[in-house]
Amino acid sequence: MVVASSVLYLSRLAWSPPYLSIEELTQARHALAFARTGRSLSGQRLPLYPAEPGYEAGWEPIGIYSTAALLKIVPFSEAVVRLPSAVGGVLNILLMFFLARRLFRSDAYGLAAALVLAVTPAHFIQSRIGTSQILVATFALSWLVCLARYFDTNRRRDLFLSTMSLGFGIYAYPGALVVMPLYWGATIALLVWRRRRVNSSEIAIACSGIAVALIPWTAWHLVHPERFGQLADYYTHNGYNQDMGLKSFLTGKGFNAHLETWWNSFSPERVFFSGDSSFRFSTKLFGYVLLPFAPFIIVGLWRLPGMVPTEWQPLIWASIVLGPLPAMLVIQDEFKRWLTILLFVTLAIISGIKAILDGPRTWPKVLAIALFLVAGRQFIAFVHDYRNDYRARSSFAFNGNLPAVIRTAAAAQDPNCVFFDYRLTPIAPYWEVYGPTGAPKPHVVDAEAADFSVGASCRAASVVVAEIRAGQPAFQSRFRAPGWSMTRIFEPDGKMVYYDVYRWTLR
Amino acid sequence: MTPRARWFIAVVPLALIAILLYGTDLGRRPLDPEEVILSSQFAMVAAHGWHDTDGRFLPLFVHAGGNAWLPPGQAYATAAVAWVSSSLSSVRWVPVCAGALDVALMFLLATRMSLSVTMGFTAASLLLFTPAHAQFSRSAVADGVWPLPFILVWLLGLVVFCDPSSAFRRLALAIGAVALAAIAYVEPSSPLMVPVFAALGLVVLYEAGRLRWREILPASMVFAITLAPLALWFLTHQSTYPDTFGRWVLHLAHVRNPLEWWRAATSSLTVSTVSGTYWDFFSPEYLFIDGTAAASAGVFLFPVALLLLVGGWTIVKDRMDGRPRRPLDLLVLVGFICAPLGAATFKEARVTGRALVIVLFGVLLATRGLETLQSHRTTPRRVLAALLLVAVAFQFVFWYRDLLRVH
Repeated sequence: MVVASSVLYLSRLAWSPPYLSIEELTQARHALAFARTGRSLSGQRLPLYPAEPGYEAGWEPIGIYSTAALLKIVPFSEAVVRLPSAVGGVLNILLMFFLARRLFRSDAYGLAAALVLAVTPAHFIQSRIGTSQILVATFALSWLVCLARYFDTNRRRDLFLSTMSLGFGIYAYPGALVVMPLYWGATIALLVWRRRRVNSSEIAIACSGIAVALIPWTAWHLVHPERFGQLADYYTHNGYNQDMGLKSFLTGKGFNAHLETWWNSFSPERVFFSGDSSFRFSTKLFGYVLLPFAPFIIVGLWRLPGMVPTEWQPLIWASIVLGPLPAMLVIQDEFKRWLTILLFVTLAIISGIKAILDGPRTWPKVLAIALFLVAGRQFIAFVHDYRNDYRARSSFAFNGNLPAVIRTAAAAQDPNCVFFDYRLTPIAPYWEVYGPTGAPKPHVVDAEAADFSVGASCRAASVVVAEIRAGQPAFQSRFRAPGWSMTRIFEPDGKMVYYDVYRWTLR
Repeated sequence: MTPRARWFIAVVPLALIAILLYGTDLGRRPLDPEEVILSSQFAMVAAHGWHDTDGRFLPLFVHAGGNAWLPPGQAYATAAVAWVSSSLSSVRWVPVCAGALDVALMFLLATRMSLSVTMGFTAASLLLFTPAHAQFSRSAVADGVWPLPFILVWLLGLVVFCDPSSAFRRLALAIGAVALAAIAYVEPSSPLMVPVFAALGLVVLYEAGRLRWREILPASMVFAITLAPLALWFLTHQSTYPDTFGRWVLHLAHVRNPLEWWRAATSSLTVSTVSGTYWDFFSPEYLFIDGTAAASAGVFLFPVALLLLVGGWTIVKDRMDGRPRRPLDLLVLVGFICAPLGAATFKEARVTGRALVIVLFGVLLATRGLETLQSHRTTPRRVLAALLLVAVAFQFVFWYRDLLRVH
């Protein structure tokens, strides 16, 4: 299973998604900066939370530092940026096997759970995005596996490790700051409920596990207490919380928006048919979960009491119902914020499969097997689309083929004579990653302006414009003059063009 | 005092209060375009010796010009009002009467289901105070309160049929079947729900162990007979199909090629969009706390949310525990869940008028929740039930005041 999922999850990481998203690019820039200089983009030496102008709170370190470590060994590529996440995805599959095996007391159901998680479209897609959100699920799974071991063996080391996993998860992605404390609270509640009393030594171990993991976090925030304010400010503005700031928590309109986000997160349209609204996180042809698994989820939740140990039932229910909480808090329903729900949905699916296969009637068993086969077929269709048509369909959401644009433009003999039309995507972050090392930043100009010229000092120049603007009279007259040649930059389907690079050489 | 006298004493004041609440200040708000069509068209038909614009005498579907058609239930009910009053806004008295009838029928139904006059009275009051019901009972728009009395009669028929002590079981079921079939005549969007409710009815009868062909034969026959005029009309007036049922229920091309209909109905895009629209009908924000509506009320008043949850949980728990249950409990829960199905197929979000039947099942479910709370021996739950009812009345007062002010 691990080998098969490694092949599936780790292969052609640079191929699909077709380009780095703007978020992945940020991670790549930080990682490159660390690999090259040992300092963050804002000049700090190995900070816990690497900051940059515009996001002073700083990004979570695990993804950035692991990418930086890789870049010390191998040259930069999109695959390197995505590799830590993809490894996290494969680890999730392995951990899910251990968890389900323990909960359902069966190797076969452990394998089935690992398989279900592996073929879940949202898990596959998120594992191939280089911004480490999938690692929150990895740490959550590690917590669950250790907790399950503790419930079985009462070995305190397992309890310590389980809450420590939660603590480390906080360094993976901002959304973890919401879910990990909740999971920790749930652990404490379960410990009390399980013994029907407060066992202080047990609680102390659960607290010390997370506390140990949070030592660097605490130290950082003692030195940088302003980070809380910066985070609160960032996640209550910039399109979050409908730009209502903290008012979104205090007004009826804000409350409605939070509630609406929570409810819409469970819409069958998104869960089973189309997934997230952005092509960066979804192919839009498949939901978060394969449609044939829907009946198993319903049956599984209905029959949960007979399928998993008692203490796990409220945890699975609560984690599913409250799953979208991080999305709800910021009124942004992208799945990356609440993908840990997949772990509990997978357990519900396995519970449903087990309930049906353990039942006395034959026809539900036949139906269950048929649904499983249909799910397999749907997953094959999903992967085929993901590796082919999705690349072309989604290219605009990744700002098009800017890597090729930069490579073509940078081929100008004079590095000081590269010009980008200002109407294009802000090019500086892309240039940092894809531009020649040490080359000066390109000039951002109004290429349609009458007074624009490449400058007398340029013996060779490149001007990049949007293909959609290339028909403008200003371009037509200028670039048809002698000395100019045009290169079209094609998108993955070999047909669509978003950018033209005009190259000029002094004759 | 005989039970019937007690029922009468409860029903009449409830209906009168409904008429008073729903009928107050009806003319203050300008007519909606749909109300104008309904009102003016029928005045014109009446003036032309009961011929529509195409010269048909007493047509089943009334042509209102262009591609606008009126279903017969609305058209002829409006005609009855037009005889009494010539004012255009008098058309709104038809839904007012339908709304009052709903309240009275809800009393009868809930009393019969719970075997308690108090619960019957509470259910009727909950319906009376339900914002969506009140609002649509004051408006003669195309999709609204029209099919609700028929659905209540159908439910009443099922309840009576499932009661072995009743003397008129078959008759009651037959009346219920007629009412269910009649829904096809009263509202553009409601025919879609007839097969859904018919299937649900059969499931209830099966669950109650009363699905015997001999017993349901009369009901099946009158059900078919009630729909016969519809079939006859479309056989003799085929040209009217595309603009009536062709738009409201099933496109003509799909009638000719059912395979094509099946393909269209089950395409990924259709199922995806419909499921999204359907899910949205249950958004708590839409159902209970619409921030933009009068007094922030959604389809239901806010305190009803808790009663619905308790009611739903009671029914599910009873089934899980294998406890003896009422035959219609399952219908109430499934009916609530299925209520927006027809509306969702139009792929338009939150068109309350098309899914208004949800208020009937919602009120029955909430009443079940209230019953659970009240039947509990512990005082806090009884106090909670009382508090919720007071909160319902309190929020309704604010909602109603806002409604009159805005209108």
